[in-house]
Amino acid sequence: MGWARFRSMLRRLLRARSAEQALDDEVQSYLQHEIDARIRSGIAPQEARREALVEFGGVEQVKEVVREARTGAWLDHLRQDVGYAIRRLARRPRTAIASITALACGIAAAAATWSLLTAVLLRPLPVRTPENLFIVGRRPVVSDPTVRDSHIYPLYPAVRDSGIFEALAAGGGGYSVPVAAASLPTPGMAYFASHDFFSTLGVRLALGREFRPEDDRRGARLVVVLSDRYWRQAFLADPNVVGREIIVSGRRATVVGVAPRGFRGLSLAEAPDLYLPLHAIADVVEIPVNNFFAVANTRSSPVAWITLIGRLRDGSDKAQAEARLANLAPDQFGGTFVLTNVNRAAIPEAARAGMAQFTRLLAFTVGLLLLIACLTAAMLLLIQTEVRRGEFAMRLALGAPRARIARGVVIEGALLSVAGAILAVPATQWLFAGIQLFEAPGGVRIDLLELSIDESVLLAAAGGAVVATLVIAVVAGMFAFSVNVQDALRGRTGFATQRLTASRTRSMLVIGQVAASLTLLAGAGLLGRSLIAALSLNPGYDTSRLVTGGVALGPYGYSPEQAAGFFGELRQRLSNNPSIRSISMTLFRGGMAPSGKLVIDGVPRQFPSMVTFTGVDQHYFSTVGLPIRAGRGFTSYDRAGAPRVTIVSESFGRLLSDGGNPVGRRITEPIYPIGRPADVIEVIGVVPDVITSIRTLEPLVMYMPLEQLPASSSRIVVLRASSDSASAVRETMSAIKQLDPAVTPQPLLTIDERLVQQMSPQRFGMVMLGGLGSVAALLTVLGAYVLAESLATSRRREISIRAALGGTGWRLGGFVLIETIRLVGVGLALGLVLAWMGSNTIRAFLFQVQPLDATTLAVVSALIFTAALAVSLGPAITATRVDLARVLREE
Amino acid sequence: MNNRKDVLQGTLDLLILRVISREPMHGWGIMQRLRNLTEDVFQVTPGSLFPALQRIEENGWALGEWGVSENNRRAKYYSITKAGRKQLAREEQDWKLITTAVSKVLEGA
Repeated sequence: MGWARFRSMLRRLLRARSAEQALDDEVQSYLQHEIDARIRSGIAPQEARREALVEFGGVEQVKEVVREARTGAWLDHLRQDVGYAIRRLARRPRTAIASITALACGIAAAAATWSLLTAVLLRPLPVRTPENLFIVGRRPVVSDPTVRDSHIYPLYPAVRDSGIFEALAAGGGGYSVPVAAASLPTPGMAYFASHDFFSTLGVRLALGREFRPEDDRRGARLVVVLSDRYWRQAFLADPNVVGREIIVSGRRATVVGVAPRGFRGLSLAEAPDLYLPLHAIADVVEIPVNNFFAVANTRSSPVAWITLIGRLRDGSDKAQAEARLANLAPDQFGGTFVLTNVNRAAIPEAARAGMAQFTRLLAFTVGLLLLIACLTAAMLLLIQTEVRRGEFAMRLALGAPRARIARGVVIEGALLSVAGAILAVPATQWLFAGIQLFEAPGGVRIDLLELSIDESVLLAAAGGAVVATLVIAVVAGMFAFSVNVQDALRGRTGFATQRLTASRTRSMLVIGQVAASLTLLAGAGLLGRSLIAALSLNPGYDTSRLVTGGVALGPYGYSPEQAAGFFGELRQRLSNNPSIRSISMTLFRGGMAPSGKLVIDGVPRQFPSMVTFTGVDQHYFSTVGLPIRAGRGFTSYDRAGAPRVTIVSESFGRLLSDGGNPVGRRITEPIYPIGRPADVIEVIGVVPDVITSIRTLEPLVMYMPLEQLPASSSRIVVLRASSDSASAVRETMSAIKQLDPAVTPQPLLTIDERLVQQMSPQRFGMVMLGGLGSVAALLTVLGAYVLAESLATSRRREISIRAALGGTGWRLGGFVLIETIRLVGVGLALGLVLAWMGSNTIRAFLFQVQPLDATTLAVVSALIFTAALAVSLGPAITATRVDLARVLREE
Repeated sequence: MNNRKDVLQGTLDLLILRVISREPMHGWGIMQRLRNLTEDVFQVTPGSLFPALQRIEENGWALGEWGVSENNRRAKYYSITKAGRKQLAREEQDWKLITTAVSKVLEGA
C-alpha cells in the first residue's frame, strides 16, 4: 500500500462520517447535473428526475460499490462487525458471561499446564553449554539395568585425576540440617558441593564468591553459599549478607556467596537452601554410622552419596568417555558407565517414565476441558437460535452474503475467546497457587518450580484463544451457512418449524459434553479409589490417629546419653497428656539393601527389597496396635547384654522361613562396632506388616529392642492420639519446645498423611480431573436442559393438537425424555470409548485399581444419566401442559 | 445503443487522467466529456466512474476539491497532480505499446 493510499485510508477511518457525507454529496451533485441537462433538453422536471435515476442505476448500489473499492474497506467492515457483535453480546449478558467463564477456565487450565510442563520438561538448567555437561552414572552389575548416579567417595578423585573430563565437580545433597541465622534454628536443605562446583557448571554467583580449595577440606572453617530463594526468605534479600556468621548444625559458618536466581541445583526433586563444601559433610551431618569417605578402618560400609558432574571438552565423544571410565579401575569400579546429560538427569531417573505419563495425562485432560469450554461457548452462542435464525434469514434476504454472516458469528466467538483469555491470566495465577500444594511424579515439588505469569503463559493463553475461536467458528459457522431463508422466515411466524439443523448441532454438542465429562469424572473416580486403596493398606488398626516424626538431637550438640535423658523426659510429660493415649520411641538403624546379603542360619541370602532395622521400646507394638502373631513379644529381660532378639514383620518372616515358622531362625548381625565379633540375633516373634510406603507393600522389617542397639541421639516418636491427631501433634511440639526451644523435629504426620503425601500425583490428578469433570458435568447438565427446553418449545403446536385430540401425560411429554435418554446414551457410549483410549494414560497412576474399573464407570455413568434426565423432566412436564387455544392465539 | 462498448478493463483511469489533465472537472463533466470524445462509443456507468475517481484520488494522482459548477451547483472538482501526470505518461506509454503490438498481430496474421 502506497503512502498516499495509506494516508487517505487513515483520514477516512478517522472521519468515517464525513467520508460518507462527501460520497453522498458527490453522488447527489452528479444526479443534479444529469437532471439539469435533461431539463435543458426540454423534458419535464418530474420525468427528468425519473430518467436520471433510472440511468444512474441505484444510488445505494453505486455507493456500496465505492465503499467496497475503498482501501481498507475490510477494516470498515471489521469495525462494523465488531460493533455489531459487541451489541449482540451485550444484549444477552448472562450468556456472554457464562461463555467467557467457560473459556477462561479452559484457557487457564491450558496455560497453567503448559507452564508446568515447560518448567519441568523443556526449560534447561541455567548452566553454561549444558550439552557438554554430564552426570556420571554406573551400572555395577551387568545383569541389573539400574544406573546408579550416587557413588562412593573414592570414585571422585579417580575420575577427577583421570583427565577424561575438562572439569569434574562432585556434590551430594538432600540432607536437612538445623540452621540458625538470627532466630531459632530451622531445618534447611543442604547440598554439599566440591569447591569447583559452580565454575564447572558455569554458574556465576549473584553475590560473593564460590568455595576455595582450602574451604573444601575436612575440619576446615565452615563456609556457606546460599540459594537465591533461601537468601530472600531467611535473610530478606540482605545485600550485605556476605561475611555474615550463621550457625549450621551447631557450628559457626560464614556466608561467602549467594547463588543466582533461577539456579536450584541439578535436580528438580530438590532445591537446596544452602551449599556447603563437599568435605564438610562428615562434620555437619552427624549420622555416626555413615562412612561418607569410605574410610577403610571402620566396619560400616561406605555410603554412596557422591554425584559426579563432568564437563566434556567441545566436540569430544560421549561414548569414548564412557569407555575410558570403564577402564579406569576395573577391579575397584567395575561395570559399565553411562553419561546422562544434566538436563535429562534433572528429572529423577525413577520419575522420567512417570513424568512422561503425567504429561500425557495432563495434556489429555486439559485438551478435553478446552474442548468442552469451546463447545459450551458455541452452544451458548446458538442458544437463542430462533431469534438468530430469523435475524440471519432477514439479513440474507436483504442481500448480505452468507460469508459475512458467518464472519459475524466468528467475530462473536473471537470476542468471547479474547475476553476469556484475558480473564484466564489471573485465573492461571490462582491455579499456580493451587497446584503448588502438590508434587509431580518423582517428588518434583511444584512450589519449587517458582511458576509465574510470564511470556510463555501469555503466549499459551493467546494460543488457547485462537483454538477456541477456531472451534467456535467451525461449529457456529456451520450453522450460519445452513440457514434456509424461507424456512427461517416461516419459522419466525410460529408455524410448525423445521429446526433440524439447530437441534442436530445441539445434539452433537450435548453428546460431546456427556462423553468428555464421563471420561474426566471416571478418571477422578479411579484416582480416588486408588487413594482409598492406599489408605486401606493397613487393616486392623487405625492409621489415622497414629502419628510419627523424627527428632534428631545430634545436630544440637546432644550426646547419646543426654539424648536418652531428653527422650525419657519427653515420654514422661506426654504420657500424662490426655490428648495422647500411648507413646513409644523407636529408632531407624539402617538396613540391608537388596544388593547386600544377610546371613540366615549361617547361609547368606538376598532379599528383594530393603530389610529395615528398627529399634523399638517395649511400648511400640501396643502403641501401634500390632498383635504378636507368633512367638512372643519383647520383655524386660531383652536388655543390653542379654542374648540378641528380634521380632520380624510377617512379610520378612515368610521370606525368611520360606513360608514356614520363622521363630527360632538366627540372623547374623550385619553392622557391628569395631572390637567385637558380630552377634547372632534370634527371631522370637512375628507381627503384622505396617505399610508406610506405597512402593513397599511387603515391608521387610527387623524390630529389635532399643537397648540392644548402639546408642544414638535420634529417635522416631510414635504416638497414638486419643481422639484428634492434630491436638496430639500440637501437644508434642510444645513439649519438645519446653524441653529445648532450639530443637525442631521433622514434621509429625499420621501414617495416613504420609501415605497420602506419597500419592501426590494421584491427589493432584484427582483434584484436577474431579474439578474439571465437575465443571464439565455442570455444563453437560445445562446443555441437556437447553436441548430439552428447545425440543419442548419447538413442538408445542403439535403437542397442543395431540392434547386437544385426547393425548395425555407420558404420550405427550415422553418424546423429550426419550430424546434426552437417546443423546445421553450415545454420549456415554462415546465417553466409554474415550475412557478406553485414555486408559493407558492413567494406568501408571492407578494403585490397585484397573483403568476400566466397571464400578467406577457404572457409578459415573449413572450419575450423569440421572442428572441429565432430572433436568429434562421440567421441560417434559411443561410440554404436557400446553393449551391449544393459547398456542393458536399466539400464532 | 448497440455500438456502445464497456470501457476496456483498466483503461478508465487513463481516460479520466487524460480528461482532467487539461482542466479540473467534476464527475458528471468527466462523463460527458468521455461520451463526446468517443462519440458515445464508451459507456461509463456511475458504478464504474465513482470507484475509479476514488482510486485516482486515493493514489494521489488527482486532488478532489469542492467548488461551484457552470450551472451553479456544488460539485467536486478533480485536478491532476504531479504524480498524476507521471502516471498518465506511464499509462499512455503502456497503451501505445499494447496497441502497436496488437495492430502488428492483426496486420501480420
